[in-house]
Amino acid sequence: MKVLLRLLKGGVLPVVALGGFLLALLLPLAVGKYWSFLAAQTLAYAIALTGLMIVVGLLGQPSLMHAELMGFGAAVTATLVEVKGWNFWVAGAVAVAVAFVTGVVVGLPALRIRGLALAIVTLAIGRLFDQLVLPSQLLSGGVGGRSISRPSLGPISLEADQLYYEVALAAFVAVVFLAVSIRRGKLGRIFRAIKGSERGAAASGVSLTRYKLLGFAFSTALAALGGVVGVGASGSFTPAPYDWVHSITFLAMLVIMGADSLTGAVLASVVMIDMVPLFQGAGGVFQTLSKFFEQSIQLFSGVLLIGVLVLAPKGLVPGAASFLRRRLVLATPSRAPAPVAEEEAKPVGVGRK
Amino acid sequence: MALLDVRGVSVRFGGLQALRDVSFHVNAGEVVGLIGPNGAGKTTLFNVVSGLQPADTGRVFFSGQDISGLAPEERSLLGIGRTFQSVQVFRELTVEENVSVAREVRERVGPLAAVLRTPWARVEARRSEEKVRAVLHFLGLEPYRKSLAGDLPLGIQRRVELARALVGEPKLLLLDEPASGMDTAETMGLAEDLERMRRVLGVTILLVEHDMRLVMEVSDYIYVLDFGELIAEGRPSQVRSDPRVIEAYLGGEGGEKVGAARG
Amino acid sequence: MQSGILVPLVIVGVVMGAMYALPAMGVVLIYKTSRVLNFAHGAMGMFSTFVAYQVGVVWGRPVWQAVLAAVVFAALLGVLVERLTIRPLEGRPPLVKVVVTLGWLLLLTSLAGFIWGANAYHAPVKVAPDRVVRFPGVNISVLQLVNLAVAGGLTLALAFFFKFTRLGIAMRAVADNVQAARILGIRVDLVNSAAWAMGSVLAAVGGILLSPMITLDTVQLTLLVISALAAALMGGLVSLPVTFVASIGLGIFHSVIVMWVNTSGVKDLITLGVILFALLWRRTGLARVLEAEV
Repeated sequence: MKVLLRLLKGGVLPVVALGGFLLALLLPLAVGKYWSFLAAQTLAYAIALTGLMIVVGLLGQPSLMHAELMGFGAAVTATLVEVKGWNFWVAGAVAVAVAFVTGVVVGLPALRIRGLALAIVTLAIGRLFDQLVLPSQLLSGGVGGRSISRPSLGPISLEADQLYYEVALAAFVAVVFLAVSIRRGKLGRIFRAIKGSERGAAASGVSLTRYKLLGFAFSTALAALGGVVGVGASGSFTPAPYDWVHSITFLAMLVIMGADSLTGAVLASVVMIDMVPLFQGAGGVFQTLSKFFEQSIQLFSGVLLIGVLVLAPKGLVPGAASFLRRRLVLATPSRAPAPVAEEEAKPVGVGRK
Repeated sequence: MALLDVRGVSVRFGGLQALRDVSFHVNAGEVVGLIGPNGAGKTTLFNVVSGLQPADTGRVFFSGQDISGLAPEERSLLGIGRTFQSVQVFRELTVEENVSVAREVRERVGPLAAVLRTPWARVEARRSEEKVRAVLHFLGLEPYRKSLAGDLPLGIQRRVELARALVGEPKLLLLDEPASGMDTAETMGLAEDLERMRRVLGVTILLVEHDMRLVMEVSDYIYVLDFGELIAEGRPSQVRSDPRVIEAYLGGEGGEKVGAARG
Repeated sequence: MQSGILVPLVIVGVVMGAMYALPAMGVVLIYKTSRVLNFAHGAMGMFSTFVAYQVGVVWGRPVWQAVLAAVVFAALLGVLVERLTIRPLEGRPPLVKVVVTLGWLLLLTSLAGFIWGANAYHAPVKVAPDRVVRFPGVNISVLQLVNLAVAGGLTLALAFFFKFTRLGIAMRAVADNVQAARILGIRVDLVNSAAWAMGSVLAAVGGILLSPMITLDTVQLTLLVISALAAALMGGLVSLPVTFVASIGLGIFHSVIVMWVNTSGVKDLITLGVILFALLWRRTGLARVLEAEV
């Protein structure tokens, strides 16, 4: 039994990941142009949600503006390509760099504001992006938005959706490696320490300033990278898919699937992008269902979010994983009952006078 | 020269004067107790020393250096470690990781170098690992190495916090009610641990504690705080018989504390 | 010339602000008793406003029936949210409860879009005739007067409620110290349900009164929560009078700013500024409370 557990932890997972990667690599052979296009879009969202996962899942700070940040990446890229005639990849790299800096600036309030208050602040900042930044003449170029042609990779044209998908996959794999090494390494430990207790972290020598800004900057840059990959696939930018409702849906979907799980980020993207076309493709009853689902992704995520938080606090993926683990290995490492957190006997704040 | 020298510190929360012109010092190698009824300002004073609470007036000197303007993490890196009354372990990290974090921020390797695993980063990583293992051994935390800190009983969590502070090789250790929630046997164990820390590691300790027996037993010197002011100080035997101290503890709501102190 | 439009703009601002004040006080009420920051507050008000629309406009019933239906619905909705999804989360981090209210925001907004159409025009329920009262130098619509009267009246009623009624005093006790309130025999769960019901009703009334002044759709009223939160933060999430005044101030700011800049986003910039001001500069422990609770 112990062996099974270790296999689950170290042995099977890389094999599964490698197998999954190979399958993903060969996906365009099995599915056509249309699904390759959707798959590239899905990967773009998965990249952006991985960014959200870093802030929410690792650093423990809420963000209600990640759709806007993704849109920001798309908008900056599209603008540089369409207006300035830049090369797509250079424009994309600049967009990510700009977003990284933006992340630092936006992260500044997070230094002194945490938790509930930060949720309000990010919602308000996101709203500002909705109203002032994304639809601005500069970034949107008027009501029509921007449109760019599919980039090419040196001499290779990526006009075929199957080929562009492979590029998106490469970007996603790079992001996964980055995210995994952050998560497993020193930086991830520091992030999770901050999530656990900011005071404890500071008293242990962790610079909250440096690491919170770093976390926000990484996260914002990834959201923007998702936007870059997405705009390369779709060839057009309009602000609509990147507004506050989508930001809340991002957070909802991520929390539903598991806020600190990479698989959760991917599954959330699959649900957001592919559910409707999947149902449509299935035909019959599903065709009808797809109509409903198309209009109701928010409704579903709302209901699911409430249900998951009340019933399966850690999210569906970690919940299912620990369920399976319990089934496979009856004797998990001993877990003492969680102690009741002790109230600190200090004057209670304004709320209680 | 005193290791820690606090001069004229005052803190005000709205209408509440939490600390009024508090001055005291701790010499290297001492165990100094800080006692007083609930709400006397002990934790606030700790927060001022460790940098979590800016003082309205007054200065804090550490090894002769004015650290009043330094951030908590800078003070931690200088050698001021602390634990919290309301335990602040990193709940989602294992015991080992809790301690590792505090050690790793002291490595002279950037986080990016750690991600890229440069040779120097590997050497540092190995050193950290050894140090962490030594501290876990010192406090008998090995059996819990791989357990999530948040899942452990409160007493163990307190020891995890202590380990986290010790791995930074602090010169001064601030302990905020380390015995709270412990039974008599555990408290005796803690007293031994404190003695060992002083003897083996050469740590200077400033201790806030409600358990009078423990404070009187381990402290070289005691300061008494009441309503944000220092009202008495001296050797344990002097403080015990000081009428102002008895008044502070018996008068008003502090009365119950003498009972809690079991003597 | 400028002063000629300043006065009407200020008046519009005061009325708008009074409309922000209703949901803002609802946010404070709910936060004080149950310690939950309700991001769905605007959405709850929006949905209740659409209930009034359904009864009053679609079914063509009298206005008082429409308002009554909306108020009853709002109260039930508040109790439902609290009972079903807030109470089971007792003891969980406040952030989790906030995310649950985000779930309600999504649910209510999209459900309203389903039933009434998301991007369509909806005729608002008119609680006052389209008449204008002439004051020396300035014209004020009857609707504006009614709005001011209702907002002022409800605020005074709230003050009275907290001072003199048993439930109001119980709410204050719970807000002050839940444990002590329990020991005194106060039914904390009932008090919480009542607070959610009242908060929800305040949002509904605000939504109904505000909808003729803005466009009635599923988004505008839902986003009202940002202004409401900004005002509530200025009041430290506890003080109803400060919240009321801050709401009026925010309304005036929003209204008068068009004299200089006429971009829709500028309002949001002001709101963000107020939020940051409340959190960073007005640090009377509020930020610390919100932080400590996560």
